[in-house]
Amino acid sequence: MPAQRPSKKRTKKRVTKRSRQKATWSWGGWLRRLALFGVLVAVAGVVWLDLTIRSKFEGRRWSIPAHVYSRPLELYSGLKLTLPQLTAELASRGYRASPAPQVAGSYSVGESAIGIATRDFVFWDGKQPARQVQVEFDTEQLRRITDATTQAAVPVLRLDPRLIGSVSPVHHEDRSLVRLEDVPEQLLTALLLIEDRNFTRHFGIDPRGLARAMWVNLRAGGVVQGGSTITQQLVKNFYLTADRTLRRKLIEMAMAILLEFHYEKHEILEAYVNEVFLGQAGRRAIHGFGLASQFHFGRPLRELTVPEIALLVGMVRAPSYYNPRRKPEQALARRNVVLDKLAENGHIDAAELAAAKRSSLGVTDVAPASTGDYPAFMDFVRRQLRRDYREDDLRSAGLSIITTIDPEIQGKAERALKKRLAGIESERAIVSGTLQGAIIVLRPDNGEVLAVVGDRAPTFAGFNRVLDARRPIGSLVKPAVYLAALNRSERYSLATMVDDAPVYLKQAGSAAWQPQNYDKQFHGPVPLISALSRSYNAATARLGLEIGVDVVADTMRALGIERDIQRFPSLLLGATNLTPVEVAQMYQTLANGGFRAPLRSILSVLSENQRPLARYPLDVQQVIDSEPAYLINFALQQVVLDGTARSLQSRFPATVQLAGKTGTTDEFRDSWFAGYSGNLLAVVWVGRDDNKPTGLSGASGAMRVWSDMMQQLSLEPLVLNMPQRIDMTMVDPVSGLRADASCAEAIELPLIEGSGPREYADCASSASGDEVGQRVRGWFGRLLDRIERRRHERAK
Amino acid sequence: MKCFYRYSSCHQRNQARMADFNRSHAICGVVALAVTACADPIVRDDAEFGAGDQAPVVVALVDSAQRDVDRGALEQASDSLERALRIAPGDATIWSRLAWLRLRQDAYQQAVQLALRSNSMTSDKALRRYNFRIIEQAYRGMGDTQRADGARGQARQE
Repeated sequence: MPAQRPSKKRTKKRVTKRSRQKATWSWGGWLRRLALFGVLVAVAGVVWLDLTIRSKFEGRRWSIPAHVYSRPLELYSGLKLTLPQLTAELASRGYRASPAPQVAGSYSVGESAIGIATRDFVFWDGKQPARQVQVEFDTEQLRRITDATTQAAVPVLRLDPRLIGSVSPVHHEDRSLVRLEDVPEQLLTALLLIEDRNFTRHFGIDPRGLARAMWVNLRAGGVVQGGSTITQQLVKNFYLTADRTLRRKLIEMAMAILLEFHYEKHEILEAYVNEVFLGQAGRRAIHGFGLASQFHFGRPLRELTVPEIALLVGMVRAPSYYNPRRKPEQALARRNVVLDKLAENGHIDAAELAAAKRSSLGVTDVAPASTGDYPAFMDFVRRQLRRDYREDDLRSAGLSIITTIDPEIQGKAERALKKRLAGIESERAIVSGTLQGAIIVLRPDNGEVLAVVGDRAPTFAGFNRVLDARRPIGSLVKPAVYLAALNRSERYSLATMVDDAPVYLKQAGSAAWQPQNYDKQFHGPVPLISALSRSYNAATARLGLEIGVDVVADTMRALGIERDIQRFPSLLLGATNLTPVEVAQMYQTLANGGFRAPLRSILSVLSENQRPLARYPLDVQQVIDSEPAYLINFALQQVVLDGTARSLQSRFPATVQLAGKTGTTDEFRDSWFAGYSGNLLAVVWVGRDDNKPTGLSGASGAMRVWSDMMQQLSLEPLVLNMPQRIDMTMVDPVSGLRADASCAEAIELPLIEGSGPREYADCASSASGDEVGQRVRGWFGRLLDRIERRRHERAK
Repeated sequence: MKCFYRYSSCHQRNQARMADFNRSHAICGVVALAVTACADPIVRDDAEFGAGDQAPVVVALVDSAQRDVDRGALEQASDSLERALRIAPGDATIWSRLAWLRLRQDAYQQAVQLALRSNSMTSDKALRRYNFRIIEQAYRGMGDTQRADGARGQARQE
């Protein structure tokens, strides 16, 4: 039943009557209440704004990504470095040529010397101050360093490392913090002149500036001048969105006033200098003058010239519009406007203005890639960092990470891979771009990784083949097989005869295993050293089966292969998938005389305020006894002298005594080479991503890349330290028995005391040692010459 | 002046002190004693280990390491020695110094390994003996008496 509706007429009448009665006080009351409510809302709003401002300004203002640096370059007397090489190193760090290098980050090149004003840098062990030095050179090496002020000899000088990238910043915002005292005075002057003339006098908003801007805009018929103060701009960037509404503008003004109320001018200015947006590189936004200076000029902020400062300041208004690399003419015009303003206000004189206007923009040719110039190496660094740091800390805690990368070697490795792969494709009529490759270069003595190339297009941050491409390693496994044998010195020596004869092994569930040799021939009984140096598959398979697949797999584990290895007989010929970095670890242990040093890419980590956080110390562990390690190194040198890598001899001086091993997999799908000198070890893989055959053996593919690269590097000879329990012994290579000078084909091999043959070969008699040199011939003659040379060196 | 200190356990102190007395250097001894109460101040005379031909850069870095040791900054000393090793990785005396430093830091495993590395590249009997003594003490630090005695025996054979 519907409710009875009151009479409309009667109700209206009643209301009107009441309204009239209360009208006199209720309007005022409502107004007062409204006003009170308004005030309360305003106060609450202000309190909220105040809280917002203070909490963010006083807390961690920005997420600063970890910045990653190259290894520092150590300069000292005797270093193999030429004057042009040092000049290139300086230029790569953004050092500038100057007639009188006094300002940090400058140098002056003479005929055989270079004057350098170095930059300061905080290393793990403390701050190395800036200093002026004179560096003199002989033809191929650094002769002497002297302090330009005191003339005292400087025994060692660390050059500041190169910034090579940042760990993916939060929201893709990248910046390097600078303190206000490190900002050039001229930059602050120009900034205030262009962006906020009354900064030191206003209280957050500048009514006069606003009025002036409005007047200018009115006359121009559009927005040509903004009226926002630096404080307002900071508020807008720091706290607010980019909306252009009146409400946001009012909030911005309120916050600007509050910010000024709470904080000193210099604090606000410092925040602005670090906040301001100054460019874009892909998804990475460049914030703050500190990073902008590195990004555009490749140098620290304090080293910028007046025109460079003018350019940066001019870009504040519209960084994309005035992008100096993409729109150089607009950027130049804008820079000159700023320079004119500086001159008008007496900050530079007419001559300085003219010189500044004549100068080029000064930006580096190529902007650093958003992923850094060395994405594969950075990837390696990140993976190692993740073991010790949370991802959040890496992206936001402002860490400085000093790494092991040598940009010089990295560059040469990249170019060698790119050029040689293109060359191979061209000479073999392979479709261009189908070959891929990977290189890792390291120091065998301490495991420091100097270069990582994960793609023939090295700046492409895609699939990192050094770390992620797991491919069969082919004959690169053989040193582990032979090492497993040589570990049992009572049974095996380099002179032990192994039969390179057909092997037939039935396997349950799969086809019989019948390894073939590369040349499709079998060579009968051969000394163990020859079977390795010539990479005979059948002999290796026999030897491996004799020792046991498990023992070989355990040897690989000792050498540093951590992943589970499938223990099938085919492992003996490299049917196991490993990445180049794993292979490099294995060969590091061999090259370092049996001492494994985990591969590392990080030297130290500093906190945001440059305090040492962590150092990654040298770590070695002996996993192979010195004697078998010596023998395997001797044998791997033989690979270069007379084995599958002998073509290297024509490209390197014999004195370097390289060691190495080629690797080729079934149907030429993978081409490997692992080789080392005394100071550098490199592993190269060449193949196709779709795993199709390339037609390349280890020697015709990867080894050529390897030698192209290594030829450009400064190599130290690989001098093996002969353990006390090893003697050089004459052996007859035909029978594997002891020999003496009477044996025509005698070779001299290192044997562990008590190992090797005891009986003498038939050819042995009491011929004198003097006759040996005349009678030894054949391929081992060269080996003998080399041993003689080494003896001679040792005697010296 | 270069001096280098080695720790030995308290019960060996007298024996070691007698053996090394002639090589001790008064100032080094004072500094070493100031560093620890249970230490044998032993001067490592570089010439003894055939390190006389070190390049000035290596000498400078090793000296720097020594200064760091003197002020108790052992990690800084390690850093300097590792820098020296980057320049002269074949110098067995630097490996030995680093081994000593690790011993001093109670990083016994690394002390053993670095001393072994040093021995793997030198035939200098005095240095090898010294390294075996580091190994001995490291094993004692680990509580492995058997291996410690083994290393002691090897030191005697050198």
